[in-house]
Amino acid sequence: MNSTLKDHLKTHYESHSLSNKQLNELEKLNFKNDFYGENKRSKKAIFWSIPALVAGVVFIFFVSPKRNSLTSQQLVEEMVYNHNKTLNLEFSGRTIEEMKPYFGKLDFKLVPSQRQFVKEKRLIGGRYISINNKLAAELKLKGDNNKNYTWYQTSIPADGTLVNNQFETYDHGVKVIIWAEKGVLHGIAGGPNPVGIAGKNVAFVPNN
Amino acid sequence: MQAKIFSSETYNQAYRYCLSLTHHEDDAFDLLQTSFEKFLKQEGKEMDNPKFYLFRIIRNQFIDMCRKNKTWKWNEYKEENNVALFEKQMFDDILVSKDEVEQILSNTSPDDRELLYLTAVEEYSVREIAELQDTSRGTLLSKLHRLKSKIRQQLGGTKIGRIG
Repeated sequence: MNSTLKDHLKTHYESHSLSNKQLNELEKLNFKNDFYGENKRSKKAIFWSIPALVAGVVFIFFVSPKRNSLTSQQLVEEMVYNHNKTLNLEFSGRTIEEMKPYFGKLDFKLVPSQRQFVKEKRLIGGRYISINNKLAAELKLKGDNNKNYTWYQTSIPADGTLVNNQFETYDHGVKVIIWAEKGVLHGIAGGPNPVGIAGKNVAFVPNN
Repeated sequence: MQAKIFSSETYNQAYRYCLSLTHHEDDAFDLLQTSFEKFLKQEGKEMDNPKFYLFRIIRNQFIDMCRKNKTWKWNEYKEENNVALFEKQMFDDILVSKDEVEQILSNTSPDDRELLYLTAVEEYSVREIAELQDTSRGTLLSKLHRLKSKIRQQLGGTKIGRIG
């Protein structure tokens, strides 16, 4: 029967189809590619994650003082703020042993310090305060020329920062030294405003 | 999870396109498999029309095979100026029998069969075929014109074949 060439061509070609087996083979190719493609992507991800990991390690080990500085900066600001407030003392005492009974609500026990810059000052009393949203002890000290110093004792942050380095800095002209001793984080604020230093923190001096 | 790129129908269309080129079922499937593998390697490449892209790979793969095996020399089209503009009619005006179709397909070259398949079965426009074959529309029209004349000549010698 005569028909147009176009119609016959259609009929001719459409009579040829892939068998189910052939279709499965093509689908398998597709699956294999998906599988290895995923692997390829994973390899790519691993390849690119290495520099990222290295950068992360570099950041943690070499730039971490900045992170430490950030945390300590907040701490310093808080200590200086409270130091400048000169809030009334709640308890009086001349030694840490005398003060201990008053600070039973702390998560740690008050400890004496072996640091010379503490030992050379006189303890006059203390009060509870909040440092970094945690209950802390604020102890008032008198130094040479009857200068006021505030000694803080608080828990060491859970991430362990500020444990290894003692450092001193200035905030709003107030000298602050922070260190860890006997499992407690200490800070002392007060002292002279060094010449040329005013305003915000200008120094970070690890001492140990 | 496995992503299904093509439907069974598209696989079949690609297979038929391969068949139009190879004129042999097993060769057509081999061509399709090889081309599909190449297609899958283009992972991540932007594709507006994956089927069209697969067809292009099939075509290039077939040309490569022809060159390697030296079984058939792929004709590079030469531009001709006096092109018969029969795009709308294409092969609608040629009446043939089923046997004659088999005869035409057996006696034509792969590039001619390809044109017959793309125009008659896939119903691609001249512009689309030109894009697929990376050739100009004028070149393609002249090729189609020659093909039509060739078919007419073939059918002229038979009793049933008639040129509309």
